[in-house]
Amino acid sequence: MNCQEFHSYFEERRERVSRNDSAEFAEHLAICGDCSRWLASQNRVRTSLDLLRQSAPGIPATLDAAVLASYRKRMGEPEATVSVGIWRMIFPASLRLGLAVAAMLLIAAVIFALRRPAVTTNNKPQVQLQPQVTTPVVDAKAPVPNHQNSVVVRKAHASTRGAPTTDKSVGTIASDIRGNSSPDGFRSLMYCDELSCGGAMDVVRIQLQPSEPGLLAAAQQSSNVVSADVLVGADGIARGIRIVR
Amino acid sequence: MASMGLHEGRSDAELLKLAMAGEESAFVALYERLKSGIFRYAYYMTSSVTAAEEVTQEVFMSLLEKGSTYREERGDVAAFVFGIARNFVRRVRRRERIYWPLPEDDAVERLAASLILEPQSLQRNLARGEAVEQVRAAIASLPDHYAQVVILCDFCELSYADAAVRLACPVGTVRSRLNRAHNLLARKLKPMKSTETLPASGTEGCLI
Ligand SMILES: [Zn+2]
Repeated sequence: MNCQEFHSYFEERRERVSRNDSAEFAEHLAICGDCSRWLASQNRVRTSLDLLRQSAPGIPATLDAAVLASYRKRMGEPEATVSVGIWRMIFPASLRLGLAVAAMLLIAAVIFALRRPAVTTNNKPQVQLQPQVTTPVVDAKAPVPNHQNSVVVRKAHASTRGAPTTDKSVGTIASDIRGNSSPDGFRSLMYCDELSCGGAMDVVRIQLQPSEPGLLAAAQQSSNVVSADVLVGADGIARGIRIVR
Repeated sequence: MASMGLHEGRSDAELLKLAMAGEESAFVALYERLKSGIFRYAYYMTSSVTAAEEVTQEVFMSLLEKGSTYREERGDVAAFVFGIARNFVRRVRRRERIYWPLPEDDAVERLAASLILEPQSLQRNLARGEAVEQVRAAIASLPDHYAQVVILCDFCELSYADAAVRLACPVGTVRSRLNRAHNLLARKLKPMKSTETLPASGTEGCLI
């Protein structure tokens, strides 16, 4: 056995090697100091690795429970996903938007009713409009306040690019709403000041059931559906409403 | 978790399918088969029980997610899972910058001296936590592709052939890497006078 064969013999074996393993091996060890030292170092490495292996921690008992809990949770998830999917199918985006607007209207109307009980208007409190909102229509072509410096209407359509966006204009509208004077037919739905009614607003057209008190007259003028434009601030809260005649 | 008997005759691939279909006992059986190897691999690669726990958990959840992409003809489930584990280990190491510090020269020298001068106390010295840490540090200081084979072959106790499958390497490459790694460890634990040339650091056609 030469040195190379000696190394190969050792490397083929995963376990520790001693001079008793083979006569040839022992013979070479007896005559080769290099291989003898090399073998000692290799056996030392294997001993070290053994000890490191033995010192390794066991698998924590909590791991099994955690993995199983994760599995159960995961297996439960598809149902939840399906139910969300069904919900989305049943309530398309437009209807969900309508519900959201309706909810906002309700809140705004309640706030308005609570804050300004003495204000007399031609309409009934707007709180009664909300539950019957059916199909919201975000209509880019809806008639918006027609004066030059009125509502800043943010729409997807390029045709609205010319809409003024100065603070002054917003302030004007806010002031109008605040004073409940509505040159454009918008009726304030909440307390407005520079702070709460500043900034650009969207005009969202919604359709209301004519059976709502106060809407019958408007309904009689057109069809069975009454439309209304709602001014919605950037925060998603409705600021004003007008019935479209 | 005791679902081994129920699925004793089933292959890992079958268990995986059943587990993905929601059969909990199959999942548990598969987990019991594979968890030890994954945990040990993650532990030695990160040197952290917490990280190893996290990796093991993530691996099994990821297995459920990616299990549909498993193809039996490409290898066994254990190899597939190892691939996932390796990615998670890399991620954890990057995220937490878990690394074993290079062994301080004098610490390794001290250990080497104690091994030479007091061979009778070898067991006692190495059993000490400090000594174990030094060995661990020596492994960590190896190039990654050497550390990987040491961990797979010496700690996860895979055969050369299984380690070769995990690393997508020829068996001969695994064997030679392991031997080179052992030679390097021997040097780190006791500087040798031999003029052995440093191994090449290329990937040699392997994954790592
Ligand atoms: Zn020799």
